[in-house]
Parts: sequence; structure tokens; C-alpha cells
Amino acid sequence: MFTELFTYSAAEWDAIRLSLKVALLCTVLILPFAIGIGWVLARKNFIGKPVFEGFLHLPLVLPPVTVGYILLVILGRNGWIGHFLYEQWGIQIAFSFPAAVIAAIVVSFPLVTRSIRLSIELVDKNYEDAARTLGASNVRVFFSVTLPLALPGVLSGAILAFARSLGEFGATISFAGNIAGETQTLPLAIFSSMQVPGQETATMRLVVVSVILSLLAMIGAEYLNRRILKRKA
Amino acid sequence: MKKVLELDIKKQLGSFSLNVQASIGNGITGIYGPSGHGKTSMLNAVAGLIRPDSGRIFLNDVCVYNADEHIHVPVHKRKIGYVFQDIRLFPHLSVEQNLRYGLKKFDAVKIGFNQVVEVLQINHLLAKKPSECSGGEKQRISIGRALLSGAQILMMDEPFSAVDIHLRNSIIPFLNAINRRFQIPMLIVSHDLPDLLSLTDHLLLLKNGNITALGRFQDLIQDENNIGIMKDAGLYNVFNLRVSDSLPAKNMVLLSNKSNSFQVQVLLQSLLQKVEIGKPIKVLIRPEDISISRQTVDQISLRNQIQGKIIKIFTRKGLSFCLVDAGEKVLVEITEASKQKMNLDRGTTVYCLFKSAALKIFE
Repeated sequence: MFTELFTYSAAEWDAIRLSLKVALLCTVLILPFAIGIGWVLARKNFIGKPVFEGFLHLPLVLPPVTVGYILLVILGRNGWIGHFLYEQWGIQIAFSFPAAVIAAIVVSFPLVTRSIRLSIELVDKNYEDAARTLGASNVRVFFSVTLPLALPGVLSGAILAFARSLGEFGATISFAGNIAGETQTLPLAIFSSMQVPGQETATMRLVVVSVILSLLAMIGAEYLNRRILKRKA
Repeated sequence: MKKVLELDIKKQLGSFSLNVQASIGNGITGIYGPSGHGKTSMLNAVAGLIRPDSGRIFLNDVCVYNADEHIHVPVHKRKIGYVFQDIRLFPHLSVEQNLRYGLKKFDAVKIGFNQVVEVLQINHLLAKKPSECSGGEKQRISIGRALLSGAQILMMDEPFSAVDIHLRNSIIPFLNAINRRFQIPMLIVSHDLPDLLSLTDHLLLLKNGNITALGRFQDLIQDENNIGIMKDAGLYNVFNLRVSDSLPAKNMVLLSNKSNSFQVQVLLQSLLQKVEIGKPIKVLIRPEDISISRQTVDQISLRNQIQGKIIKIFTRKGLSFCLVDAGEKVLVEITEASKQKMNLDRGTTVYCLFKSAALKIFE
């Protein structure tokens, strides 16, 4: 029984690998946008900012299935944009690996942006002014002062994105489907395994991996949060 | 004298309005005013951190702000060395990286990195993080960083307030050394008059957002209004003297002005460094620490009894201020009652009496 718990089948390895791939890609792709929007929200005021923020945070409170459905309506083969992509270039996003990544990006975006925005807000603007008097342009100020000082928050945002992607279920199953080896990530594999009677050990194997990965990510995020608070003090 | 900075600006900041016109030349200019009277706002406007509502600013004859022509040169193109009151060293960079932050690779180097490090004595700190440095060290690093950014003018906001009172006197020689060595004009803001006077005679007085006076301190104290502004801040007489003789037998040193028309004696111990004839020394004394008599007094412990003539006398809030020409202009504060009893007036010949210990000495 014990060894069985750590002997993974090829299909289970596929699900674990796929989950990590989706989560990593999502994290890498999300960061530039999240940093950009996080900076705008932290430093700029514009008309309609509350509406923009509300829209941005929507995936945080919407049921993930709803998010997946909306994505399908937009990017599905008959969707507003999906239709155009398919007609022009024959690109089909829904029910493919990219769809799993997109679903992960959309649901994690508000979390990451929030974390980055807060850490940029904590950067003392006086340092930015000092950099300007030393001849630094706005771009250089951002990359040499603002971003390094906000770095722990950015990293903790990245870990949040990674962790949220690992756990993503609802949006993925409705937008990307449950295709083994292509879109069947860890949570989806657990769900499928649960449907089959007598697969309790297999399910438990996947659950153990899921718990370990999420726990590592949360410990990492907590460690970075402490560093932010320490730097602030 | 070449004009380094010319400004004529207005800015409304809440209920406070800044309205300054000034033309500032080379050398060190001290900007004095009580807290909240617009000193920092004035520096921020020159640096471009705040945008005036109207007016013009010229730096070395180049227009950096003109409201009518919509010119507002951004902060990073103004070449202003700004040493902030709260120092603002970048916490994530080492001391050396902080110093090099504004260093332009392709600019002709006017001020060299090694020179700055040497003058400010921060060589041993280069590898450290700012958080590992003391207050005085941080201050020197921040001055060095501003100098190395190719600044054409160095502005310092309250450079004495961030450091411990014991360290104040240690920062002053550095500022003097920078001015001498790098020939860079400096604007130094302070609400502490003695600190400013130990650095420069050239003052700009700010009150309620307006410049009330600009010029040599020795000239400014001839105006009653200026005295009123400076009185609360600790008004001092400032004399730029040289060591003219040492009197080791009496344990005293004789200091004189250029023409030897004004001499004071100070205690040998009050000089920190070796006494050399001809060495320049700045001496400060409070007007209320000087007494006036109409004759020399023999049976008295006071060594300094300097003869002069009253050239101006006026009364303010029950106190009489006599400006005495004794080779240097000496401001003396006495009570209204004494003035009447002694029958002092313009032209009266008097003796200024003070203890050697009342003198503040800057070498």
C-alpha cells in the first residue's frame, strides 16, 4: 500500500508535468502585464479607475466555470474573436493546451496584480524623485528604483500566480476541456480519477502531489511577504 | 559676479503662497527662514519637482521654466544636485552603486569619482549598504552622489538636521572643502542661523513665502526688519579673521581682520588645531553677549574691549540694537533702559566688551 502511494503511472506523470508547464507558462506570461497594470493602479489616477479595477478583479469573485464559459464565448470556434482567428489562420484555441494556459492567466491575473500593486504603493516616491534629480529618466527610475524595491511583492505575486494556476479547475474544464495529455491538469486528473470506482489509491497519489506543490508555493510567498515587511521596517 | 540661478516664480500651495524673485551667484548661499516659510518648496521648484504657477527660472542662463512659453524642463534634465533633508540613499544599492547612480559614462568628467570619495572620506564605506552607515556617513554619501551626477549647482535641504548635534561641526569642513575643491555653487537651506553663518556670509532670508533680503550678512544686519526675522533664530555677529599672533604666555591667541583694525583675543584651548599665523578663522558671537561701556574698564576680567562708534541705533520690542563700527560692524543688544541711562546715540564712541568664552569659533 505504501509503495503504491508513490508509484506513479505514465498518465499521472503526464498530468503532473502538464500542470507544472501550465503554471510556469502562466507565471512567465502574466508578469509583464501584471507589473504594468500594477504600476498604473499604484501610481496613476484616471477617470473610470474604479470601474477598471472592478472589471479587473471580476475573475476573483466570479465562479471559475463562469469565467471559462465567457472565455468560450469570446475565444471558442464560434466566439467573437475565436471565430475570426479560425477563419483567418485556422487557429483554434478552445479545448487545447493554450486554452488551459489562458484560463490560468485570467483567473490568476487579479491576484498577481493586487500583490504587485500593493508592493509598488509601498515604494517611497521620494526615492523616485531622488533618482530623477540624479538624471534618471522615468523608464530608468522604474527599472532601477521602483521595480527592485517592489521586487519581493512581484515575486510573491508570481508565486501566487503559480499556485493559483496549479489549482485552477472550473475555467479550465469548461474552456480547455479534460483532454488527457493536453489539458488534463492535476485537479482535472483528480476529478477524473474520483469518477472511477476502485481508484482511491490513484486519487490519493495525485492529491499528495497537489498538496505538496501548493504548500511549497505558499511557504515561498509567506517568506517573501516577511521580507517586504522587514524592508519596510 | 556670474549669475548661477535666477528665479521669479509664484506658486500657490494650499493656503500658502510662494512668491520669490532672486538672483544668486557663485559661492555658497545660505537660505534662512523659519520652518514652513517656503525654503524646501523653493528648492523643489528649482529642481523641477514642483511646477510653479507662473514665472521663470534660469540656471546658468538657460531657461528651465517659463510659464508664458510653456517651458518646463523635466527634473532629470536639469542637472541639479539635490541633497534631501531625509537623505534618500537607495536602500537596495551599495554605497558605491549609490554614488555612481548619476555618473554619466559619456559626459566629460568634471568631478572625478576618486576625488569625491577622498574629499568626503567615504572610501572605507564603498562596499557597504546604506543601512550599515551612520547618519553622518549617509549624509556625506548623499552629498557625493549629488556631486557626481554632473550637477551645475548643489542644493542642500537642512544638511545639519539629519545629523547628531555633535556631528554638525564635522560636516561643515566637508562642505567648505567641496566648495573650494570643486568650485560648485551651493544653496544651503537651514532654519539654524549659526550653522549657516559658520558656512557662508551670503544669505537669503525667506519669510511667509517671500524673499525679504538677499546679500552679505554684515549688510543685512543693518536693517531692522532683517534683525526681526533673524532674532528668533539666534542672531550672531560673524567675523572672518586670521590668526595674527599667538600669546602663549597668556594662553591666548590674537585674531585680526584683514586691515588689523579689529582684533579679538580667544583662549588657546578653544582652537582645535595647531595655531598658525595667517590661518583663517571664523568667529561668531551673540549680540546679547556683548556689553557696552563708554570708557575702557580696567578692574574687570574681560579681555576684549574694542573701541568703536555707534553708526546706527534702533529699538525693537523693548530691546535696543546698536550697530557699532569697530573696524568690523558689531551688532550689540542692550536693554532700552541701559540705552537711556548711558545716553547712547549715533556717533557716540563706545567700547564693546565680551568674554573670550562667549565666542564660537570655526576653523
